[in-house]
Parts: sequence; structure tokens; C-alpha cells
Amino acid sequence: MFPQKPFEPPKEFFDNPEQRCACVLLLDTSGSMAGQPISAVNDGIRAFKEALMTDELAVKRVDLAIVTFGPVEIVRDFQTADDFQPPTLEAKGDTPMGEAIRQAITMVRNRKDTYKENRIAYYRPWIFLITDGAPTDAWKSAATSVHEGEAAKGFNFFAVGVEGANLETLKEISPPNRQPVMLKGLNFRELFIWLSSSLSTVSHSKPGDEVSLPHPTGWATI
Amino acid sequence: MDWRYLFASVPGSSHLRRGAHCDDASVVVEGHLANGSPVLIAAVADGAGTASRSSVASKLACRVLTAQISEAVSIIDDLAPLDGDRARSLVAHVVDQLNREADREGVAIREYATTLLAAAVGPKDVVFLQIGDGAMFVGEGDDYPWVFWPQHGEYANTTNFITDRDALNRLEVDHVRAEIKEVALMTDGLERLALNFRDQVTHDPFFAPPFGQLRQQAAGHCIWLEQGLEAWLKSDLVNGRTDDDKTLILASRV
Repeated sequence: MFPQKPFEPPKEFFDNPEQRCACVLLLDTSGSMAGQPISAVNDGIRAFKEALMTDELAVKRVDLAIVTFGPVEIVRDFQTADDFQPPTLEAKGDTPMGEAIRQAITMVRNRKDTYKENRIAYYRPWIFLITDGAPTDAWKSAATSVHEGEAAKGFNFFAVGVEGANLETLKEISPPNRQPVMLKGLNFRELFIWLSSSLSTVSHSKPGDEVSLPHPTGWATI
Repeated sequence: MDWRYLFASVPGSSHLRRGAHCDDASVVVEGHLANGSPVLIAAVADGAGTASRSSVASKLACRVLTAQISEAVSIIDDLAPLDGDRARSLVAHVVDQLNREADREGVAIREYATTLLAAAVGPKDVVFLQIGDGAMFVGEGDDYPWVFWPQHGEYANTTNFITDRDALNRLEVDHVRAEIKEVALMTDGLERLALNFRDQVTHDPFFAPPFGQLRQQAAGHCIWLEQGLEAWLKSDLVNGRTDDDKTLILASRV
């Protein structure tokens, strides 16, 4: 008999044992995003990566995934910012937002288990939803899961509406303590730079720090 | 004194960028048992980043606890009586002092949130106590096993503080009969350099060089070597791995 192969940690954690801040970008790529909006999103994601790259700790700690809808698709599974390649997204299909949210919650839960198995310390994960429409599928149970996950401090959920979004539905989905925000025009670039600096702050936070999102400035209409 | 020791607390690079103070503190006191034997008493503390009085709290906690331990050991002949409830009452006294300070200043006790770790090392036994993250180590030749694993909550930015309501339940205390030759105490800023989190073991090469230098010093507080420690804690080499405040105490029996 050959001896059993010893446990080998995945290379990503062996090479980089830094603590992680998981973040799922949940992006609406339905037909109504076609044209200028989707190219502004793609631009914004590139700026997002560039901004993270300027912070030597955040680049090793912010763990990014992208899920688009619809249909629901994992475009990028979790990767730290240095390995992350910005995708070029195309707009098509409807808006299965409920399924997308459930997918993101499952991914975040599994990612935490992976961290634990590999003894990687981690921060509370982020789920960041951007949409210009209203769900075309059943979303009530997804909203309940969001509220429960927030209450249990399992993750932070934040929704941004683009012009045309159904803000009332977004309010119902969002946790009571973090109401959705409307994007000003197509200021995706400003939004993503703000998100990068927020994630940098989280990834530098110390025991006792309560990290809340800074006030959205320059990109929101509130 | 039959110990040589050095200690330093330096602000992290992220605190320097924001112009904030060092929230860490460290104190070493030379005490004596009733029979005259020397006891090395060392404490480190890390004030919570969001607590406005954290740098006061960490210093006060270290000072009060080491003074308390020094007084307590002066009427006993070994450290066994410091185990368990006595250790809890010493920490409770520290919390009382923080409460008084908070009342005097008219601010909430949570503004004084801090971790607290201490070791009292006598000739034949040792007592360790810890609330929160950070770690203590015992030198055994080339190995430096840790005493308590750092207390972290689910998330990397959560831990326990002595000002928490149930802090005394989370206090870890250990009394060990052994002739300890070397000890080290650190705050969480250095955890990732000294501990291998994947295998939950000490990264021994972290300690070998500084202890090697310390062993060549004369007894007492090694102020000259301490300057070297501070410079190293502030170096790019260390700051590339952590941007937090950092504290290290090293002590070696002569």
C-alpha cells in the first residue's frame, strides 16, 4: 500500500496566507443594460482592479467574485485582486435577481467553509448588487435570506439601483439598516473606486473596529 | 535580577498615516516572592482601534496588572495561589480601575476596550493569563511553543476585550510547574509573523535571532538592544507583513 497522500492546501492559500475579505459583485446584465450602461460597468470594474492594486495589503486580502444575471452565471469565482482579470460583460436576457442573490449567499457560505478548512482568517463578506430593473423571478425568499444573513452577521448586503431600477423592490430586498442607493447617471467608475476604498478599509481593520461603509459621495443621487 | 529582558511597542504604518497614536502598551516589572526569589512580571495590551481612549486603556491595564501581581507574589512562596479565581480577581481589579477612569472622564467604558496578556515567571513555576488576541511563548531550546491560541471571533477584526461584559469568563489562566528559561509576549500585530495559522504552530525562526542576541547581554533591562528591536519593528520588512501596532517583550533567564 502506498501511504495516503498528505493534505496539501490549495496553492492560493499556501502562497498567500493573508486574511481575506470576500466580495461578490452581483451584476445585472439583462437586455436593458445593453450599450452605454454595460460598457460603463466594464470600465468601472477595470478601475476597481487598478484601485485595489495600489494598496499592497488589500491586493492580497480582497477576494473577488462576479456573478451576472441573467441568466445567473459565475463569471469569476473568488480570486484575490492581484489574480483577478476584469471580464468584458455583455448585456442579454432577463433579470432573475432572486436566483442570483441565492447563488451569491451560497458562494459566500462555501467560501467561509473553505477559509476555515485552510485556517485562513477572514472578514465579514460583502454582497454587492447592482441592477437597473426589477426581478423577473421569485425574489421574496431571497429577500428573507438577505435579512436573516445580515441579522446573523453572516455577510453585508448592499444594493445600488441604476436608472430604471425598481427602488421599492430593492428596498424590500435590502436589510433595514442598509437601504439601497441610486446611481447618479452612469457613474460606475466613481462607484467602483469608492467600493475599492471601502474594501481596503475593511481589509486593514483591526480587532474592535466596526467597519461601516463610508457615505457614498460623487456617484449616488441621495 | 536573574533575567535579561527588553520590550517595545511601536505604532503601525496605518496609524502613522492617520496620525493616530500607538494603541499598544507593554510593561516589565521585577518582583520578588516572600522568600526573596525574583519573579519576572510582564504584560502587553492592545487597545481597540475604534475606542477613543484605547491608548490610555492599554497603558493603564498593563501598569495596574503588573503592580497587582507584584504585590500579590510578595506574600507567597510559589505562584500556585495566583491560579484560577485569584487571577480573575486581579483582572477584575484592572477593570475597576478602567471603570473609575471612564467615570472620571465622563465617557463609556467601551472607549477603554483593550486586550490584556501577562506572565509571572518565578524560579520553579509560572502563571499566564490572557483575554483577547496576541500570544505568549515559552522558550524550550530552539522551540517556542505558544501558551494560548489568540482569541479571535469568526471574523479577523473581532476579539475579546477586558471591558466586555463577560470578559472574566473568557480569561484564560494557566499555572505550570517548570523552570522557564525564556518567555515572549506579543500583541496581534506580530501574530502573522510568529505563528503559522494553517498548522497552528509557532514559526520558530521568528524568535531564534533576537533570543540569540539577548542571551549575550548582561542581566537587567537591555536598553541598547531594545533600540535595535524598535528599529526592526519599524522596518519595511515588518511593515510589509502588517500595518498594525506591534509590541514584543522578550525575556531570558541569566
